[in-house]
Amino acid sequence: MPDHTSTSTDGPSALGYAAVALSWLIPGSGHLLIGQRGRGWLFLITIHLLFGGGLLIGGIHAMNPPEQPIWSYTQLLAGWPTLLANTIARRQTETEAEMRSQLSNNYQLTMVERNAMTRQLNTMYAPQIQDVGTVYCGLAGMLNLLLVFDVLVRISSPAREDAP
Amino acid sequence: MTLLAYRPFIDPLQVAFPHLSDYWMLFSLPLLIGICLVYKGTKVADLSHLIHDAAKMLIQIIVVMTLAAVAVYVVYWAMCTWA
Repeated sequence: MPDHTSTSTDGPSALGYAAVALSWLIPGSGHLLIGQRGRGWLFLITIHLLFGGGLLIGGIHAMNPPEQPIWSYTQLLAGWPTLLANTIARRQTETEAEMRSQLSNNYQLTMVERNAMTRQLNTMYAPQIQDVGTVYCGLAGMLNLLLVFDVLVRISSPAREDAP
Repeated sequence: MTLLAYRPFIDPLQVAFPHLSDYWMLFSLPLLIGICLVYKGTKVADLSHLIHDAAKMLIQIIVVMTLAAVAVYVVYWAMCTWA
């Protein structure tokens, strides 16, 4: 098992700090890097499942809810899944804006196309279920923050005892 | 162009299951399981105790939240009845 932890005289190694940073970017990877394989895989799978579950339940608009900006910050703590989801959410918002623009300005659309676009725009929003998805993604981020601190504690105090 | 097809991770799950929002509270259970696993995963020294400790924490949360819900309901009922 690699030792990236500190001694009483010197601080954590550079790889230890890299593990802290990596722990934010890829949930669970920090623990894997410092040799905590069991925990690493557990965290990696659980956080990704929570985040993916949130997106599956709430759809892409579970990201960055406009009326609850605090969740945007907590979601950002989840690392790469948030970065990717935010990119997709931005594109989706642009696509929807374009559809709305077409509905308003393009009079060559057939009635069938017009109805289909309107129905799709309406089904994109399901506030109650989207809130659940938002909470899933936000809590995945907050749990990842816990993991970042856990990695920091483990590389700083290797002889950590079991806490209640 | 399949405008009305359900697109996983883009559309809310409600598009595929229209009455899903009636059961939104059930979604808290997988979330609680995830929280308990991660929190206890950082706390236990030996991962062989993880499932036991996480299950104990899960039950504690469910019991306390249920009691809190009952207490709030009783207060609400009392206020509506006697106020």
